[in-house]
Amino acid sequence: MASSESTTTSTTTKVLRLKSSDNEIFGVEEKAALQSETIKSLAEDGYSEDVIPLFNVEKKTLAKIVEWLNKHASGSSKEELKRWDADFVDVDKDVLYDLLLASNYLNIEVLLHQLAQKVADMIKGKKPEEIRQLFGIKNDFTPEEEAEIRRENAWAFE
Amino acid sequence: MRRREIKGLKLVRKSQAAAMVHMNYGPMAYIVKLLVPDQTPIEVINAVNSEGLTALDIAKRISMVGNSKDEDEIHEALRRAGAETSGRAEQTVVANPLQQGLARADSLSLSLRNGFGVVAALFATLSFELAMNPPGGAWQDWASGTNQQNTTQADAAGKVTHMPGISIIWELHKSDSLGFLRANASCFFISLILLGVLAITEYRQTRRLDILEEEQSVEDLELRRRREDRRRRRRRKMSDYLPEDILLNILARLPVKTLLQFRCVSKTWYSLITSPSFITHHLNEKATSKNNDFLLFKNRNSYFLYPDKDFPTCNGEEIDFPLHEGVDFPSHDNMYNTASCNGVSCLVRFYLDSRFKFWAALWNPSIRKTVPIPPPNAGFQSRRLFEIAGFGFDSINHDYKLVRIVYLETSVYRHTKKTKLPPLAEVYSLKSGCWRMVENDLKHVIMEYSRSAFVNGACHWTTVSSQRRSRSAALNVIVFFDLADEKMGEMIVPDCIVFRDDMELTVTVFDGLLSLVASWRPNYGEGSYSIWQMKEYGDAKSWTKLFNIEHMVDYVYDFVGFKKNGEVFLVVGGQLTSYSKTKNGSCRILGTKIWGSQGTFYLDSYVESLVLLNEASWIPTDNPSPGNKEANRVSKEHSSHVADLDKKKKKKKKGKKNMESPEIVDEENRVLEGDGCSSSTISRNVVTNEGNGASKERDFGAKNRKQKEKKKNGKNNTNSDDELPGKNNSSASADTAEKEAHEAAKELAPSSGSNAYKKKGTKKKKGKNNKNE
Repeated sequence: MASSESTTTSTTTKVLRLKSSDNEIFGVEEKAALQSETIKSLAEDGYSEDVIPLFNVEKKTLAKIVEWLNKHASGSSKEELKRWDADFVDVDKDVLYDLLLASNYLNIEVLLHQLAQKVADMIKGKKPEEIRQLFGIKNDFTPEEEAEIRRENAWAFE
Repeated sequence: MRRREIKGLKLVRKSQAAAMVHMNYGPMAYIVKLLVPDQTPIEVINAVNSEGLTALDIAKRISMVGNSKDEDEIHEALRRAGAETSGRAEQTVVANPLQQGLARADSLSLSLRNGFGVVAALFATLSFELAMNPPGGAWQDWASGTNQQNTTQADAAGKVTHMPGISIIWELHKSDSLGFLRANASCFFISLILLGVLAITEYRQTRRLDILEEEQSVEDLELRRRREDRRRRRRRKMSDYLPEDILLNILARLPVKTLLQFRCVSKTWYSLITSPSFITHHLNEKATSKNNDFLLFKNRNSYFLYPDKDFPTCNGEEIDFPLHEGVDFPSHDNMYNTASCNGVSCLVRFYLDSRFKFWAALWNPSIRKTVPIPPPNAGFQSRRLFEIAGFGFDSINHDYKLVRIVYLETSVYRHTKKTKLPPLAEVYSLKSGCWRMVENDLKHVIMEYSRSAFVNGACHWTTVSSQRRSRSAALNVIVFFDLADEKMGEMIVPDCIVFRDDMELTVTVFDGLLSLVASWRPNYGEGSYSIWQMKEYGDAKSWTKLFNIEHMVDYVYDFVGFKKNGEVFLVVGGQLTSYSKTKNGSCRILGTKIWGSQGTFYLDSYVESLVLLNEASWIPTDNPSPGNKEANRVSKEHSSHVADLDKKKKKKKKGKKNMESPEIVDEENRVLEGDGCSSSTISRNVVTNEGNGASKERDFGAKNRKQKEKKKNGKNNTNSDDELPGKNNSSASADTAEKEAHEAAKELAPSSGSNAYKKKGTKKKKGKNNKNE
């Protein structure tokens, strides 16, 4: 996908080449890529001519991110974008996690918000026990302490 | 051999911490001693590396391989510091004796076996060679005079009858040669056997090592797999690696109720959620995000939280009002909600008689928390007419403030002297916990029961249309109090309303902008309602009329509030009615079938928030103490709290006396003694004392409580006994004849007395306070 894109792009639009941590190179139109603040500042620092290395993003994740960047630069209608985004974030937990980290690293505000909202919707209404399991958190409260917190706002736990 | 040795060493190395391997033992002991002073915490000493090994484990392992004398010193140094071996270490060390035994056996027998092997091979070769080429050689030809047939006879005869290929020695010295051959053969076979044995042991040892190595590599694989697994699992465990800012970003999108639950996920989450910065973050997130609009709706004494779009038909959630009428506060009558701000509603109750009492509390319905506001400082001798309150957030000082404006007779009616005095204004700051007097020169009189609108960092009220003094002076103004710089100000209303003295004005907030509802109610006919909005805050020219409320079939009693979509709620003919303009200019009037009249309803846009979460809460009086069922006619559920109620009342009284004592306002509204701050510090002390007392009380059993109560009663009695004569004096000296004033004086005890008495009184109190403490 990456290589085909870079070859088909016309000469008028500049293409930035992004390199994933496992050395896969993705070509992205400048307009799309600059939605990421990190890429923007890297491009301004003179990386734009050669490959922009993104050490913290794996191939698989970067492919998704590039997909998102292209979609959001394509000028689709708001409704379509909304639907597309809903599908985009509808992925399993691990992918979601990778995307979160990547969008945080790449500083793509809009995507980060979408993903955070997705996780928030996912954990909304869950019990603390479920959260601990989901996030793999060890409960470091003593039973008394926990009971105290629960008692404090007993109505919230109903 | 060499290879194996290296392999063996590798096996050991694999399980060691890299750093230790490269060290020499000699200096190491010294280094370890230096690194491990006696005070090193046990946790540090017993910290484990990636394989779960402690320092002592590693030291032990090294000692199994090497033969250093220093190792004991290292052990000693570590042990002295309290080092222990980890449980895990035992497991991995199990493989070590074998390994180590092998390594040792290797090094011991290696040269020996090597020697044996060489010698055996040499002997085998030698004996074979001797057998093949016996000493002396073999006959090359037939002996002369011998024929082949008679060889045996010739032999028997002792003649030399040799044949070619036969050993000469054998031919000539048969018996000697036989012994030599036997010895040679046995030597050969022994050598062979020795070689064979060596070969077999060699093979077996290689096998053993191989198996061991295999086992080790299986173990390694297992370990690697497990580690990988762990890593993968940890990856799945989001928050372990989820940067805090991402986690905060996610949490800020959750509803308050969920967050309150999530506080008990872990200590980290608890401190994240309760941190002031997160509370602000969460509030901003809620305030800016769509679909998070709520309406706080009060219908008589019940409160409901509605999602904005569903009001008033469905999805309303009734909120338990956390305080109990007649227990925590006197009555719902005259309870007044100031406009809510950041999810906090301020409840104020004014007493309409002239006795001094002011009750206020902050309430965050979404976390169901109430925070008490201590009584104000100022007491008044002059008659109070009415009070106004306003509440809001001072974004510059990050403080929630309640402003209270008191109109005395002198500030409203003394027109004749033309020395109308400004009202008294006091501000309470939640951060400092104290009330402070505010200078002001307000000329306009705020309308009694005026709603307050908090917008742009200031509380706004409408005024009573004052008599026109000159043609140019505005009649109707909006008065505001800026919470940040604590100054009063005035604002002009729309031109066409300024000179109307027959209109009733109400300030409110719609769509985040200051809005004005102007109503004109003639004795007959429909009257008119118009709604204005100040598009540009502070710019009087930006007043814009949004729409008129027309075609009302019935009398409009009251304006209630707005919904986000611009729907207006009014009380029309005893019914809560929704009024909205459609796009084509026509209007839609809908009765909600909720009945009430003026003052029945309160409707305010509301945002869920965690504000007040960390404030000291109003201690709810829900400790049921059975057996006290009389005395509460107000509500069934409150009947069991009488004991606590009594206590609280007593405490409050005590507090109030202390708080109010140093300050008096005379007829000219001057503060006679003490300034706001000194008295407020006292009040704060008292408040904290109260708090401590209360929290202690929670911890004590019922018996203790009763005893305490008794003691308190005793003290209170003596208190009042002491004060009684003073009180009489003071009330006699004061020239207020009214009974109410008397009562007020009693209540406020020394406040209305002479200076001399006051000092005495305060002194006494201080003494008492000390005693109490």
